[in-house]
Amino acid sequence: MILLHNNPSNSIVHMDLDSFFVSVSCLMHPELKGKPVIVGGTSDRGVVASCSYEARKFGIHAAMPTKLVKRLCPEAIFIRGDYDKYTEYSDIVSQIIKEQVPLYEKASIDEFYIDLTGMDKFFGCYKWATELRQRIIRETGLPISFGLSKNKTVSKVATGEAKPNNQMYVNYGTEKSFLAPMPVSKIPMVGEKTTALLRSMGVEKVKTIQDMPVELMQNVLGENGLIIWRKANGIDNTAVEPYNERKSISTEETFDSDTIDVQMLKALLVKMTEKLAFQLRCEKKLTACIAVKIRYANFDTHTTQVRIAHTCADHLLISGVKQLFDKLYQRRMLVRLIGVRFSHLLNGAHQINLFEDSAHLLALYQTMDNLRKNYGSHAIMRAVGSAKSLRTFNPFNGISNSLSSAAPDAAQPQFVLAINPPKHVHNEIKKQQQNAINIHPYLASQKNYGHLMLMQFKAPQQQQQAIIDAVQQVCALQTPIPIILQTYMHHNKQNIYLPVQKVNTLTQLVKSLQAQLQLPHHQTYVAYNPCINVISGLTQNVFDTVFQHFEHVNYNTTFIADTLMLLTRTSAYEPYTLIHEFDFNNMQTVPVIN
Amino acid sequence: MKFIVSSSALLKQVQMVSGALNNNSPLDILTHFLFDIDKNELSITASDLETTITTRIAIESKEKGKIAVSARLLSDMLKTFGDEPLSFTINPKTFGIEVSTGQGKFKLTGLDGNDYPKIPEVTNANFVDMPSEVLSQAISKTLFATGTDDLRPVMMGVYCQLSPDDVLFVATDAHRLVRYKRTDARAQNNVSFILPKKPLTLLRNIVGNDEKVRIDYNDSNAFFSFGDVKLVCRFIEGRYPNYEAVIPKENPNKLTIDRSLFLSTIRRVAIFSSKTTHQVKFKITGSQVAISAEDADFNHEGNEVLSCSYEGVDMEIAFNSKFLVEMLNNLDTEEITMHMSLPNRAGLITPVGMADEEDVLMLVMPVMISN
Repeated sequence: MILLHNNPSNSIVHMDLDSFFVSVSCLMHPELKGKPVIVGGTSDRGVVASCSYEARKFGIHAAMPTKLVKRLCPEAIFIRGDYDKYTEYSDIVSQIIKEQVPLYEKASIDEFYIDLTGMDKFFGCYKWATELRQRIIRETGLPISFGLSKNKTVSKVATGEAKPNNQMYVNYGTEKSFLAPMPVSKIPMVGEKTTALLRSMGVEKVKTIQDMPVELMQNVLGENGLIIWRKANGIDNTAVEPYNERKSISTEETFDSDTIDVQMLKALLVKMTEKLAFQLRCEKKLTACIAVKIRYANFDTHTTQVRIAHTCADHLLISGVKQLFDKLYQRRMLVRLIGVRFSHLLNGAHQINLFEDSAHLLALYQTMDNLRKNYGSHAIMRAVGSAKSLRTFNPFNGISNSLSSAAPDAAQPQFVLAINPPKHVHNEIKKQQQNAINIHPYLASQKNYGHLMLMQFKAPQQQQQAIIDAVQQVCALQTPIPIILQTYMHHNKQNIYLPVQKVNTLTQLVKSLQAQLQLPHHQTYVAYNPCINVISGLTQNVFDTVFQHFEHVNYNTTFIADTLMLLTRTSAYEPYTLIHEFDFNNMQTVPVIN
Repeated sequence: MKFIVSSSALLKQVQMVSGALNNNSPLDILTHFLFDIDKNELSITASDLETTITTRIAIESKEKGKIAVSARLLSDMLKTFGDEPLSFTINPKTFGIEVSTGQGKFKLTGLDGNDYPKIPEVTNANFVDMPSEVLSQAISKTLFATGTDDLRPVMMGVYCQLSPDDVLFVATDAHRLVRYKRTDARAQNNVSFILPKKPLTLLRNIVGNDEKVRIDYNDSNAFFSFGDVKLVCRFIEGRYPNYEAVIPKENPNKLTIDRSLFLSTIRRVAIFSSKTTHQVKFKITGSQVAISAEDADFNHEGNEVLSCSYEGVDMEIAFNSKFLVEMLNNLDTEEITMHMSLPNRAGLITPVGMADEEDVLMLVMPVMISN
């Protein structure tokens, strides 16, 4: 094999669609032609995925942060990518190449290597490749460039030189002299870091590398040094591979603003893991190595990985990922990016565990996967993973718009918004509680205050005043509400409660409170069907004896609620204390707002 | 201190006990044998603190004393002799050992035998007598199914449940399970413990054929004694998983098939399975079972169809072939029956036509195949 590729008659073409995303977008929207167009993330943290040649004149290049682009070229037109369209056009190009070529490799969405070795006899490779290029341009309308030489590396460099919308042929034996005058960064796989390193050694031109002894490169750059040295000398024996097996799958997310919300980070990890695990199962693959990546605000990037028994089961992967995260996240620093990767992939299916996998769990997973297959991967997910990522910071002052931003680890006081019923209702509830205790002394520890609870939430102490102000605003517009209470009910044989009849006005109040307070969902309980809890936390047996009594109690009462209480406690074991009472607007008409 | 012993007889005993040694022991003395000379009897002990094994051999001596001898040096030396009388001379002050043969003299330094860790004694123990055949059968039928996961130490041993009616041995690694029951051996009362893998492997190798093995047991140790050998091992502590609960009771689908044919077919087909998952698929229709495997990485594929007798609905189920091969290998009846219910529930393998006093149940969890 290797001998064959050393043969000087090898002919490898590298084809690259010029500024592919932009070109496709211009095809869709001809009015964009000739303008500085940028495809990429539009948020502050976004980067350029592709830019038009007009934009490149301003010094813009791929992977440049959007912020910088806006400074360099304020008139640049930003468009969000339409990746389905890109894939479609990429497939059309692949199809054309596939029809004509014996052996090709799709290196990325817009890059192809074509092995034309042996075609020389009949056509002349350069002529043949030119015709292929013309055909692609004719049939898709997309500009494409190619480079032709004896191996992949030189062809790729040649394509880069030929661009935009052109072609180049590097004759056999001239590879070295072709590469020699170029800066080292033109060699594929020499990135920013290697360039900087080489520059620090005084190496700027490929010629210098060509003249260096290979051992020196190896000493400096290790194994890669050898490869780079060979590439610099125009030696590259890698074959054109028609198909590449995926070696790992991964996903990562950069936050709009850096965060230390560990809870949110973990939730996001769960969501990522679930997504990847589903992909694994779709491909009938197992993973044996999981890795977690964290990039801190100062761009320090840490990765840790662990080998595990082959699996594709959500619960094993999630717990593994969480453990890794706990191990990795040691510094109390803002996090910019997190990611998950599964590697050591192999074909297979989940080996069922005798003790840990119940039939129910397996059935649940299968059903969830079927739902995802039919309705998309977001059709169903773990509740923890569905928590929205934090994108609610005010970019100007760094203060969160919602109440969720405070450090999650601090013990936060609990707040309750409730309506205090008049004395006669309290008495009735106390009486019934006492009756219940008489029936079953176990209930003596019951703590129910007989309040009509509307909302319960956790928030940092320092936001107390903000909460009071917010509730004040709602109450100022709220007229007194008539409350009708009727007959005791139970919930799942666990709680006994007194429901509110004709609940509409009350629910509206709850909703406006919720809207005004903007609390994080996962720490908030909102009563859309408000009720007064009488007894809670019952077991089946206790319930059966106690509820008989409540069934026969006929209770009917109405009162007008005209105040709202805000109560708080710092831990679950303390009694609530009253902070503030809000009066409803006593004018019987709703104020008219112009 | 002096004694004379036959080299071949000593080698035999030394090889028997050396299985208990841990070559990477942090305690240097545990890489030594303890020689306890008591007039005309020498007892040799090897231990890794969890498992201790002691054997006796007749010697010619008039003295008493203890010395620890380097296990590696001694075995290496003994292996080179045919059968020669060896005379050991031990200096109790310097612990120097001199071994003289007709032609040669070898010197090595031992360690003080009194420093050797104390071997647990039988105290407040009950006992059960078991024919050696029962014990070795039970070990070989169960040992292969034990787990290797350090995080779940209880599964790294064999669970023994003795009762006045029968004795029961269970091993599982959470993917497969073996339950072996004998009604021809009994205990006085109900007791259960978990024996680690190492002493069981040792026992299997050294228990003779027609012997009675006396097992004394207390809260923490079991003491096996037979012939000249005494083996003490510490139980694995912890609660064994509730294995009874995971053995499915309702298994309407029954596949009965010739064991050796089934085994050789699975072996053959599994060659073409993925080298890491060893997954083979059974497609059972009517009275045929199609066994197939594939390795998508290399485009390998194996298929074979066997006829069998089958009661139940047609089904497709996949297993790790390694588990199946080990299980079928460890059964010795002509035919076996495989009981199944659903593709994601356990498959049970039982032998057909076993002796009445023996009862084997092997369980293997399938691999999830998407439908």
